[in-house]
Amino acid sequence: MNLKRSLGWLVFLAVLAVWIFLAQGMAGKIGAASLEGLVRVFSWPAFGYLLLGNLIGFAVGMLPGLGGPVTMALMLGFAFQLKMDAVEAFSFLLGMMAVTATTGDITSILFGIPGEGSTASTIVEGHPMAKKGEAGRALGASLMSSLMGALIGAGAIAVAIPIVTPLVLAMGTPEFFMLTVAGVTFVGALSGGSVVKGLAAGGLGFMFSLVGLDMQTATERYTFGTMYLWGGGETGGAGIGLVPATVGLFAIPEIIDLATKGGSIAQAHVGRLGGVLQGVKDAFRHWWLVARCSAMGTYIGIIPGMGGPVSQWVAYAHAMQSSGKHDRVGTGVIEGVVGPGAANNSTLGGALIPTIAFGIPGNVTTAILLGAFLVLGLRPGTSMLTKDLDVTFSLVWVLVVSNVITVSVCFLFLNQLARLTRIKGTLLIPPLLLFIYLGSYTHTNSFGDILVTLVFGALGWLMVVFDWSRPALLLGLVLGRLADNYLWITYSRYDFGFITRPGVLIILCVILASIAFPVIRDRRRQRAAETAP
Amino acid sequence: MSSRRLSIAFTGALFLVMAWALWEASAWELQASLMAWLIGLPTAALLAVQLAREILGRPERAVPVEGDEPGLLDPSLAEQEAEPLDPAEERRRTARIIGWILGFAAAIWLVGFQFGIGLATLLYLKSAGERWLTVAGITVAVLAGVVLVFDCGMHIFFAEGKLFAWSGLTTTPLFNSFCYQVTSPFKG
Repeated sequence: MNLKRSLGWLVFLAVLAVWIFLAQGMAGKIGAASLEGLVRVFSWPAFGYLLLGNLIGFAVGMLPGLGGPVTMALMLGFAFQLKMDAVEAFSFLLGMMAVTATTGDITSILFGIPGEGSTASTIVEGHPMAKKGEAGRALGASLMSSLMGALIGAGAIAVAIPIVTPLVLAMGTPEFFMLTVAGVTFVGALSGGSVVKGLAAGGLGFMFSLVGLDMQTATERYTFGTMYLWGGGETGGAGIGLVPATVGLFAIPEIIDLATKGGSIAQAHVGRLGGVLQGVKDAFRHWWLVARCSAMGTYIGIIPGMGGPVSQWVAYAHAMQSSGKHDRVGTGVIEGVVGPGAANNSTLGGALIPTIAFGIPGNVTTAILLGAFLVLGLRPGTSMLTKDLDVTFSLVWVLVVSNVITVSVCFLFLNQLARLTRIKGTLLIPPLLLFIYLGSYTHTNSFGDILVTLVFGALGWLMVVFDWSRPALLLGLVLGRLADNYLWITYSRYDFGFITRPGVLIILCVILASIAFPVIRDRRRQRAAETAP
Repeated sequence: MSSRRLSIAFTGALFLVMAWALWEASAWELQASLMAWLIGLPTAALLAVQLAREILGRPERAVPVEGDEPGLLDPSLAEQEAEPLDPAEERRRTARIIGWILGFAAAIWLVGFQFGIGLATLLYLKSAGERWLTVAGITVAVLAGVVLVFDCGMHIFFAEGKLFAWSGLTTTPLFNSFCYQVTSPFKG
């Protein structure tokens, strides 16, 4: 045990030394970009959009049945319709996403219904606390640990920049092509479910991205002779608009689910909430647990295909195990509230690291955000770590500022906010359909956008019914155009000899490992389940 | 049709689409078709494998995953889950909402965004058994949102509904004039 711990410290010190070495040369640049990013977030109208995003995220997080990624997909179109610049758009979109996990905890604790998929674990200990009359304490602990987790997750992006920058700068077009393939493969293979289906869905996404007029050769690809599918829209000539497709894939199936399950909004009555300050103290008392769970959340966020739904349960298991109270599961153990609260908020920061550096999103949210990067003319990788470093830092600041604002507002208006969850599900459907159709229509202001949304809505719903990976398909669609360009440049320059480049071979090995890993893991689990008594 | 057959039909349809996509790409020059071949061929192979698996009755078995669902960690949580719906009722509700999703789109196409959304909202809420006051309140809020925020505020161009276009009527001047009246005090 001591040897293991010493080895751990040794690795930590080695990483720290490497980081200090790498950061030394970039310190001035990072400092200036960080300051500029902060100024841009607080400038007008970016700050106004951030507040608007926070407000929407607030409601979405609290309302069960309405997911953060869906709302982000819905709002994507408006960000472009309002002609926002990069920082304004991210203040709005990321500001919205950054707070959903925080407010989702409120519904989980008060009503035992997860406000967000990533806040389900908070129910296990948080809801029993509410039943015992300690709702205020549970909420105080959850909100404060969420804030601490979000700050650690945001800090992780800043810390990662000096490490990933030299890596990204050493890459060429062949490596970037392989990275786009790796991104889709990771999400397809690792996001749970069937590996074959996940990879096939990613491939289908790539194929959908080819629809449109090929700008290099003027070849009509899968356009059926219709001008609408020629493209020229925001995805750089792609025939299928990212916004209508994303809205269809994610929002339509959610609407069907919401309407089929009936009113999923909480009906129980909640009295006045007290003991919030005690909960805040609990979060500080367990600061080391908060730090550990935040680190876990960040790490899981970096791994493509994972994210909040996984990190919360890992953190919960760790919190209960380390508390020594595993015999009291489900009775209202405060550590079981603090741990997941920190983890699910730090995950977003972690997921942004591979998205910014390599264009490989860690989860659905960052896959949609990656689409926003491309539409706004930002290329993940070299430019976001050099030329647009201030924009990258503005993302960090949006995470920090949004969480500080949200947690402060939550503390001030907790009692009033709890009433939001009593809205009936049926009343939400017309406004949601309005946003779905308006959001997609703003792509080219034509009815064709709505048809694309309906087609992708049907596809998305069938994929949900038959358990196919929608994030993999979306990522293929987002990265397909980039991959097409990279592939042609690579082929023109190296022919198929590019495959022997060391960087390409390394990425290829990682891709193969990512495919083999879930297969081996599932076989082991299957065998263990079969041999278990 | 059983769910297995439906699943086979879905996978089969995807495979056919992919096969058609590859056949179509064979007519393009290399630069335009390179990506389609490089990605399309393995994707078609994967779809064929999946289709064969489903036809042979060897779907991937469910693998127990730690923390996959709350009930695994806390049995009491399973009780908090909503009671499962009767499959017939679930099918009825699904068909109904799909009908409404298409209905909203049809209304927008026929009478334009502003009137279409308002009309569909009113009909949907009334058919869901809501009180007239609630129906009117939400319909007005939705209409106001479309007209004031998106039309007058964001100047989104809303195409004329087909019914108006066919009958030679136009609603655009009506909304333009309304927006002018609303926004002129702010323009000084």
